[in-house]
Amino acid sequence: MSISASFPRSLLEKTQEYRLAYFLSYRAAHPRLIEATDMVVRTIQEPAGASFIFVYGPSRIGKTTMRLRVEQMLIQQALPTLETDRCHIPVVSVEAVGTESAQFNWKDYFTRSLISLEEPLIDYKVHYGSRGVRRNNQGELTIEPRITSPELRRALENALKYRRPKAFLIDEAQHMQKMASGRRLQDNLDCLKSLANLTGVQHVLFGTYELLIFRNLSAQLSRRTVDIHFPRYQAEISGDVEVFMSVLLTFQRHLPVEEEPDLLTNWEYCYAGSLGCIGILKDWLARALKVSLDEGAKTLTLKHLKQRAWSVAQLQTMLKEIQEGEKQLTESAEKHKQLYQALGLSEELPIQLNNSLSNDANNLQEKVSKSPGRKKNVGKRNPKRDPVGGVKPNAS
Amino acid sequence: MLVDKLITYKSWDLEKASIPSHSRLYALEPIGVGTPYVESLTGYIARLAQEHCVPTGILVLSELAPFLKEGYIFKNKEKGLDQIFGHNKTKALNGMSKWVVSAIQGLESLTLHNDLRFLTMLPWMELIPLKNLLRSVKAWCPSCYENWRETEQIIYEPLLWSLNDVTMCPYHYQHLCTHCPYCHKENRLLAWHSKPGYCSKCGEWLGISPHCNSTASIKLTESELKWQIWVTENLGNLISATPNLSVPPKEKIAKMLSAYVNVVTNGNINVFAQNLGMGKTQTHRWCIGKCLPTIGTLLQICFHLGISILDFLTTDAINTDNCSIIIGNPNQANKKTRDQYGQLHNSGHVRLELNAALLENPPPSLTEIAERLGYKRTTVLYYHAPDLCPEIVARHTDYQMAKRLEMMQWELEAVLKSQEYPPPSMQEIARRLGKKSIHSLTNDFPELCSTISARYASYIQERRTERVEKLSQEVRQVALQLHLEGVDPTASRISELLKKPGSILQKEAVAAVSEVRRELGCKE
Repeated sequence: MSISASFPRSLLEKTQEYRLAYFLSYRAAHPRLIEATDMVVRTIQEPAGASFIFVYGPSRIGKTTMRLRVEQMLIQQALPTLETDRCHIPVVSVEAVGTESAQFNWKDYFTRSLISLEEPLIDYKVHYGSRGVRRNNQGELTIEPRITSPELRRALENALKYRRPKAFLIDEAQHMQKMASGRRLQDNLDCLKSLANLTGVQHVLFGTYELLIFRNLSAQLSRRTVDIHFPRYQAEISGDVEVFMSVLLTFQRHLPVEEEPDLLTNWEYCYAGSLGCIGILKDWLARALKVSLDEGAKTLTLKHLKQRAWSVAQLQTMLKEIQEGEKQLTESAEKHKQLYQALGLSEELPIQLNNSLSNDANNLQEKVSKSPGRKKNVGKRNPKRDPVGGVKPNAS
Repeated sequence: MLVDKLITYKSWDLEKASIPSHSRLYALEPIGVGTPYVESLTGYIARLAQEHCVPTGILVLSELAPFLKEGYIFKNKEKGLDQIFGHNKTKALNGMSKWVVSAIQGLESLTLHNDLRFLTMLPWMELIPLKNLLRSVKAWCPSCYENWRETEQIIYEPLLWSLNDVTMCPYHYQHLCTHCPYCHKENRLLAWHSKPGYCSKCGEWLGISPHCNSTASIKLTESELKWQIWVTENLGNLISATPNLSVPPKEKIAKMLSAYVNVVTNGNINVFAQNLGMGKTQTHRWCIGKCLPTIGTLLQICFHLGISILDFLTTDAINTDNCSIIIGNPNQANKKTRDQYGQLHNSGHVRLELNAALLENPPPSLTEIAERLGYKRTTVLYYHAPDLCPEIVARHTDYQMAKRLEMMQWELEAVLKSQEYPPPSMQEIARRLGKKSIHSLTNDFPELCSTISARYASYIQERRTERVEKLSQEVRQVALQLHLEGVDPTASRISELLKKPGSILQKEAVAAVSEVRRELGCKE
């Protein structure tokens, strides 16, 4: 993490679109992103890897960037073997698509997965391999209401069996739980689970905190999952603030405008407007940059930022969602106590238990999500009783 | 202040490393390479399609066809696999034509496997003729299928099953099936819906079932069983040894056969052939390397010689321990053949005889000469003197022709002389001489024929005049009769009283009517 120079000055002579594209393609490798990415890659490589890896984080924090990085790293690692093993495909990546109806469209999901596996003959599988879907005389695709997903599913199983990817990355995995009923939700989960078991391919699900419902649904699943939390930067933690400011500085240096803007002095405004999510911050800066470039301004000012900021109401909704998710992930002392009481154990144990777990994933989770449970609004104290006298409350 | 503490972060370049292109189809492992039960290429293609979850036809037409036929692209499933294979030619895929070479190259580049030629008989292309090598329909052992399914092994089609000479399963000692027990149809080696273990026509499981007791239950006789066990074992060994073998050159068979002839029958090819039950000319051609015996013949030869086909093709040592046709005393054997066939001649002798025959008159036929020399057929003469034989044949044919013509002339002259009445027509004579038409006769003997024809024509004319006369008389009589009765003898009234009323229409009758009316003075 050396201090990198700012954007190349020659950019200033280029067109607006080019300058904007430069900023959009700039991906700051901030510590939390690196940490979570490494965690995912390491977990995938563990010999007795879990079937599922869940990666949660607020929306627009940089999960997709992370997914791309994971793909890149896995491909890089597989390169030497690829020369000899030409059937192997190192990684599959697919985006689960939200559906209009009340249930997740598996047919679509299987088809997309097969396409991303560069499956040969996929067209024929859809057109002739099953009865329901075919082309009519004019060459238009006609789909009969009959379900064809079992055939596609079998095709996907075989593809995974023979291509042996290290990991199956599913972006926006929370869309998979778009369900009309809880029963169907369980079905969806079982479908994914059996696919992972039959093929032995690790599934990595990237999603927002909504994904937590999925994880907690089945005890069987919980055993073979590893959770990786990719949280935002939180103002309550001093280190976080510093990192956030560093990221802000990085962006500030890489905004291709004539004079370097001074964002750092208004870091609090920037933090509030992005909720500490780097993805949101970058989006916001990019939008502001567009305004500034359109105006022909020499630099990016607070005025531009304000023009493009999300409304307070919007931010509040987003924050609420994030905090609910963070709360769910927090393994507070209270929850441990409940668990231990239910098991009939002493109440003092929780801390030791946490320490004894040497699992990397758990450590990380602990590290990054120990405190956020108590966070409310930025810079506001929690409503709690201050300690009086010499006794301190036992924090987890 | 604060800025000094801060750092900036690197940018991540998320460009992915370019990976080497992966195989287009799954690198499906062929089963049993180097064992007798190695998978066949057609079975491999069907399994490949099954693993890709597409009908076999789609896989073949869209992926494999471009390698078989230049510029070929998949259009539709109309006509099925016949689009490229033609009717019932999919069997060739397990064989060894140039066409299989391109199919294998195609499949190897699609799956990036490099041992697929061992799934065919291709490595033996030089040594084993394609004739009668492969079956044109699929054969299978239902017990093997059932066994694999029960033990959850991969269901596949061994190459051994596609060989024509293998009719029995070496594990279950029963006939291989060729008809589906459900739809009673035969399966092609590769069809649109081919799937290992299932009927490509009706899709039913081909393993043992209550319905399947047709061919499999027919018991093999002991000699059949002995022969089949030997054949499957030998071919199995041949197939399993193929991957670790450099296939010997084409001359190997001729060399080995000659060597055995020398040892076993003291160089006498005829006796050797006779003991094998083969044609001696054909055997001679194999021994001199002019042509190659088919796999079935080679198996029989090896069986009689008591040597495995693999040893026969790959080793140089001659082993006659198990040979069933050792001739102890070569001289005695020669005598025996003399008794049976008479003096056998060398080329010079035969030519001498033939030259003499060329001068003979009447020219003898080739068969006649062969018989004189003690041969049953003329092939030997052709073998020794391919230039003289046609000459003799031509001479004999000409002689025969002349003889035939002379005969014919004599016959015709006899007809003319015979004064037969009524004289026969040419048609009649041609029929009597056994000819279909008179053309050849009129061509060969125009004068004789025209005399015969003229005689017949004058006879016909005579008969006609006679008939007309008779008719005129009759008309006249009837007319007079009518006139006497006081009736006007009109043509229609006369006709009613004639024997053949219709004959009044004839020219001569009309003339007779008008003549008699004029005589009687009736009104015209």
